[in-house]
Amino acid sequence: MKRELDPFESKLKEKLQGKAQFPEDLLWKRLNDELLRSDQQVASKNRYWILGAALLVFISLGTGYFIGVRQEASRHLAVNTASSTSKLPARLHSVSPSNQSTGIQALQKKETVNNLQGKQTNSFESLSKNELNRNRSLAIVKNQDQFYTIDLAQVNTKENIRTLPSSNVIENANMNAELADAPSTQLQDLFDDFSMEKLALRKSALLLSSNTTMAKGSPYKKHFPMFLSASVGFQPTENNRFQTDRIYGSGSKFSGNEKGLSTLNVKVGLQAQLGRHFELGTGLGTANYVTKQTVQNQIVEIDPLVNQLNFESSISSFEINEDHLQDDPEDQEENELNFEDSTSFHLNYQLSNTIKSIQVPVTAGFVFQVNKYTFTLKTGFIFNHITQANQVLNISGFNAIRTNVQSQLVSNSFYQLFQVGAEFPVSSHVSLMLSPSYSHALKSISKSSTLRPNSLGLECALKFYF
Amino acid sequence: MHKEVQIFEALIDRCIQRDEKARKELYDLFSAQMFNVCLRYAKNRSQAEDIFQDAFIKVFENLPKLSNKNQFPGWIKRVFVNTAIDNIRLNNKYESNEHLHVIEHFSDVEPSIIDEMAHEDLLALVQELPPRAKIVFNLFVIEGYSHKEIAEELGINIGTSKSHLFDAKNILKSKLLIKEAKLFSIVS
Repeated sequence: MKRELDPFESKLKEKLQGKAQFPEDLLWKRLNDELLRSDQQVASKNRYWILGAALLVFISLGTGYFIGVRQEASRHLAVNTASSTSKLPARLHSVSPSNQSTGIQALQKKETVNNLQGKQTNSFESLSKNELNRNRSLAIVKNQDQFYTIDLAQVNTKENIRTLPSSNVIENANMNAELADAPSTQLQDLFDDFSMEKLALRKSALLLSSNTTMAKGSPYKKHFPMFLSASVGFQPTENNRFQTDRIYGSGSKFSGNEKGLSTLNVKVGLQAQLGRHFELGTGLGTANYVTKQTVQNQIVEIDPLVNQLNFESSISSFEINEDHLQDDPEDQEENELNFEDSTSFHLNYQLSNTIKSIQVPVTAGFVFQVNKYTFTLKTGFIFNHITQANQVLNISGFNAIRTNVQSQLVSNSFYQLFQVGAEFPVSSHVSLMLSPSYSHALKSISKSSTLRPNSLGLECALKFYF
Repeated sequence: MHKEVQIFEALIDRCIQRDEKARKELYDLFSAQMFNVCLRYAKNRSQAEDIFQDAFIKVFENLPKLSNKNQFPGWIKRVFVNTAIDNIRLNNKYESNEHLHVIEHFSDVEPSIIDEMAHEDLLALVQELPPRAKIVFNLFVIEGYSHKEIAEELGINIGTSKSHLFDAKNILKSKLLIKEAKLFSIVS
């Protein structure tokens, strides 16, 4: 409903809308700057979302794969058990010298196969080919105390070797006795088909394989595609060197080095091995980063008009005046450094910044094995969140000046990580890993200066396999 | 006409895609009109500039939520008015309630007085109005809101809205009379 304005109101409206006033040009510049800042914030928020989503996908894939693998393992174990208890004996009874011409239904023969490693000779005693199984053609091989099944359908591409539960060993022993008369020549043919040399190799390769079938109690537990690892890392290597100019008062200026040091870091990791050579990893860790600059016996001149000392560190610049420098805070008269009385003095000090963070790495790696050692080449990103940052200025003879500098640092940042891992098996569940690593911040973590911590360290880790 | 609409919609789309040039074009199209809205609600130019900047940021940030691009002119004005009201409320948060002491009822003011005043002077009179009276005056007289709509918008009674409008007009009339009197004394 349209309202009627009285003449006074109408006249006011007409007059107020009659002339336009334009905003100053400066307003657009201010507005545009604000919009650009807002765009950057949106972009960085989007980056976090993308990284978060990627992490979620990674965890989902890992969990899905982990669950899938367990189900697959259970299924194969069931097949193996059935083959070795009920179906196999029935099939084996049907084998006789008279039907050998129609094809091999089941074979058993003691045969010696030389291990490619040449260190020992393995004895594979039992072998059966189950052509009646529509889904799979399985062969069972016994090596000393352990039984293995071989998926013949995939023998030329991806051999699946499984160990049977120990309870099956006894049952299969009966099978071996019944197949004792099988011809050795046919057995040899089958061995050729299986490429037994490869088979021998697979035994060692299983240590890093992601083979999806595995029996509980197997010595080859390490094939299990997902394992947890807990590690304690120590990075003793000196890194970052900053060239900083320091101007004291207005009279003196000199340069010095500031060194960055990483101290003891602890982290817990979770890795998922996908395929034989691919590994994804994430974790949670702490990181302490310390920068130190030490100046000994430096002659400093003070301008009485300025009456303060100016410092520069990798994080920020700051000033102190004589009030900060007291050897005895209770007694002002005992203050040894009086800028008004002395314009030149010898200065010894150490300035250190301690930055404490928590880190979440997300890595992808290539895994390969040489003899019994496993090597990993990893790269990825580390999400770094600063939890605490303190600056301590310790001038010789005076109380230390401690300042919280967290507000001058960017709380959340990303690092790039490169890592090489060498793993030595200690037991069936544990291995020791030594891992040199290099990481560097992608952007400066200081708001006012350029500080991109990089560290070169050696991580010592104990890995627990599940 | 249809082509103009298409061009305007394309401009909005480019603004949504954070195109700086498009933003400037849109700003140039509406800045004068919207700045005058801000001036009417603010108590001075400085506050008007603050409102202006806040409102434009809201406009650009909320552009993707605008379902019908043809409604943009009405929508942008609403954003500016709401931002201005929010700004006034925020600035008067800790101030005591307004107590208007308008004793007289100036009913016999000739509208022609307004014609004799400069735009800037009249605007200054509006800016000097008490915050709530100014909001109601602007919403009722300039934006065309009814008292019911104003009451809903500001969360007040219809009677209060009418009272604020009455006060606003009375203050303006009294100041206009004073101005006229001064003008008359100078001339005579």
